[in-house]
Amino acid sequence: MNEKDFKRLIELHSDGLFRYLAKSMGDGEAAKDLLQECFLSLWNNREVVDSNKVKSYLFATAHNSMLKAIRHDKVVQSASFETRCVQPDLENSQLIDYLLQSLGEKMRQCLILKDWQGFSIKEIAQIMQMSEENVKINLFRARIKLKELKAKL
Amino acid sequence: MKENKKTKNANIEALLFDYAEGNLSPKERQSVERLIESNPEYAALLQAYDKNERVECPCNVLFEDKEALFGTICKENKAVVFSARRKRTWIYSAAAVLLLLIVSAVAINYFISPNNSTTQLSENKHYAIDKNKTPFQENKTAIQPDKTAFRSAETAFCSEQVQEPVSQEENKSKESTDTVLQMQEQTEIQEPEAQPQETLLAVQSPKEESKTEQPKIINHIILDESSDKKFSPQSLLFAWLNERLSLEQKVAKVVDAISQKSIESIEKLTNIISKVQNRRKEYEYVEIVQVKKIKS
Repeated sequence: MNEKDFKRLIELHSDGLFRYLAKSMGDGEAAKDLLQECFLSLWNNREVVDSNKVKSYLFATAHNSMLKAIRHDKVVQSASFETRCVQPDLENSQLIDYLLQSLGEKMRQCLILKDWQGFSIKEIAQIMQMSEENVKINLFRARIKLKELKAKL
Repeated sequence: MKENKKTKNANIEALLFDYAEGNLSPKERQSVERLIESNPEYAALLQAYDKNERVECPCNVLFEDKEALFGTICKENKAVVFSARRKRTWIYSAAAVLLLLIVSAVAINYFISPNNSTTQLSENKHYAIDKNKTPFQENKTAIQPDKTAFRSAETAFCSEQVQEPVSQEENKSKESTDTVLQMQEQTEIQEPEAQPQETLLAVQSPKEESKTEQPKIINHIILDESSDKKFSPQSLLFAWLNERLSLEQKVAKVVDAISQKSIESIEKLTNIISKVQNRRKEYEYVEIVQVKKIKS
């Protein structure tokens, strides 16, 4: 992987990765930092990473980085989630945020990876380091909850 | 019991997910349908689930700092590469400097060393002589380039030479040197005695002309020796070494005569020459030539 390839990968995956991080964490600035970490990790491991699995690598790295960040800022994040959940806004982007934040962490991430990024169950399982059964369960519950939340609005 | 039920429910959720998503084979689907029929709660779950229920992708949320991200990462990378290159360059530079120092040290040793001095050799007419074959090669290393040291050594040697002829002559008589040699010596020495001191100075090489003190001392020795009419081969040789341009042929005759008569005399001469050589480095090649002549 040379610089040209790397630039192309940034163009290709940075938006999706940023959305995943931003919507999973609820913090755009933190998402940018993590995004940079992900691509830096990709560049540093460019000799090791399979070119066909770059996207999975990026999202797996993002997931791990996010877990670390969430653990670190757990109190702050839960507080911000609470306030957002209390006051849902009906504007589209805010509605999306509201719905996502209403879901559990794993459900939210599984849903984003599945619906926004188009990963398969197997890929999501690899990214999130869980079994395929668990991914299915999370997705199943997430959709049910979404339906409930939308019904309440 | 509750744990088992929960696990069972979880597995059912996964199964229902596959059923709803259409991932099951017809046979599996039939078994799931039978399960749903027998368990109304599963039917309720399936009813609550909608596979088309999605969160709309916020496609307007974009990461706008792509160039900056690329620049930042590649800048860091370049910095890392540069530092690695710099480190490598530093090592190469250090090695080059070390090599240069070694080479220059060797070169300085070579050019400053009196044995290998090109200036000295160029001044000498007998440069072409193979030094490795000379018996004085080892003595050359002992030669000191310091002129002051040389002068003091020479003065010391001259003072020795004043006293030497008597003892040398005694030894010579003991060693039964023939009378023909003595006769030749006497006749040969008559001429330097007759020559004025100024003439001797005039025939000296330009290099020796700068050293005005040396010939005076040596001439004095020669005159002293000639006045006693006792001239050993070493005194003759010494005279020749100091005033070789004027006395070279004469001394050469003496040396040839000695060489024809006695090998011991040659050896003695060789020893004397080496002794002189330690003090008078500028004559070393002339001496070598002379000794080679004798040997040949």
